Amino acid sequence: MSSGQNDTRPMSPFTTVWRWHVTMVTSILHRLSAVVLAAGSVLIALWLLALAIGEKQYDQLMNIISSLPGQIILFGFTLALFFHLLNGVRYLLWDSGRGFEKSTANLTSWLVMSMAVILSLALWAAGYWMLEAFPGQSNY
Amino acid sequence: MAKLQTPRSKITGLGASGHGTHHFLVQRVTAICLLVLVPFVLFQFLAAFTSGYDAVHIWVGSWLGSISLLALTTAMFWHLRLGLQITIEDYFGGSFRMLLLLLNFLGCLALWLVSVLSILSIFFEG
Ligand code: HEM
Repeated sequence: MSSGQNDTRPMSPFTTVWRWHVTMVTSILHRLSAVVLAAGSVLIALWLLALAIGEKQYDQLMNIISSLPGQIILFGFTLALFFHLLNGVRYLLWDSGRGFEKSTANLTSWLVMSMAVILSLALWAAGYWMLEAFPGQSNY
Repeated sequence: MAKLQTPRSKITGLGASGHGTHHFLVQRVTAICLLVLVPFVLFQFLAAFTSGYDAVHIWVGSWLGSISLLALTTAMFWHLRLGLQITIEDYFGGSFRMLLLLLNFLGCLALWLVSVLSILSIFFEG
């Protein structure tokens, strides 16, 4: 941004001047999901640490996570992960020069958002199903 | 800075950061790694997590589990450091930017070290 310079012109006027459109939404969501995942990555480190320290600490952490607020936050992390992963593929395809046509970019925006929701629900359904089908039993 | 820059360094195209496209490329390489590793680890996690501490401990301590988790956390925290750096640089300037960049670097490094040490200690525990 313009901090440190004597430049008062708006550097990013897009949110106030432009009409909202779907590629803009996915662009903003990519950054938003990335910041959410930053918080999620702290949880992964803590989870591994708890697992390394011992059963008591691990169970304590898992109790917090499996509470209702914990599950809601974890579902948010899941959504952010799938969205960022799928939208990341769009970035990689753009880097190869593909997918820039307006109709394609709009279509893949909608596709990525809906697939993120579907995959998150599917993963959680699979998780709950595993708990039902194999309670206290590992496939490892 | 401009005064210190030789005409040669200007045309080699390394830009203001002095690192050229390196940041961009590593962000891409780690993204591709994560694209493979994230689903791979999610599947393993799903197979293990229902049975509590012992099973998860066995998974993380296994060769497959520890190698995939080491790869995942390494790619992830590297990707995160680069990505957050860009985000910070977009919104902050001056010395506050420097402070945030330092915290970003140290934070990602610390989280990566904690993860790696935890995985290794579980692996070598047997
Ligand atoms: C799962 C596979 C992933 C893929 C394919 C992926 C892909 C990408 C790509 C291509 C970018 C560059 C976007 C740009 O140039 O503006 C990016 C940015 C970023 N990613 Fe990821 N990523 C993944 C996972 C993650 C994870 C797990 C985290 C967090 C721990 C993360 C955090 C970030 C951050 C902070 C940015 C910068 C955001 C921005 O510039 O707006 N990513 N990702």
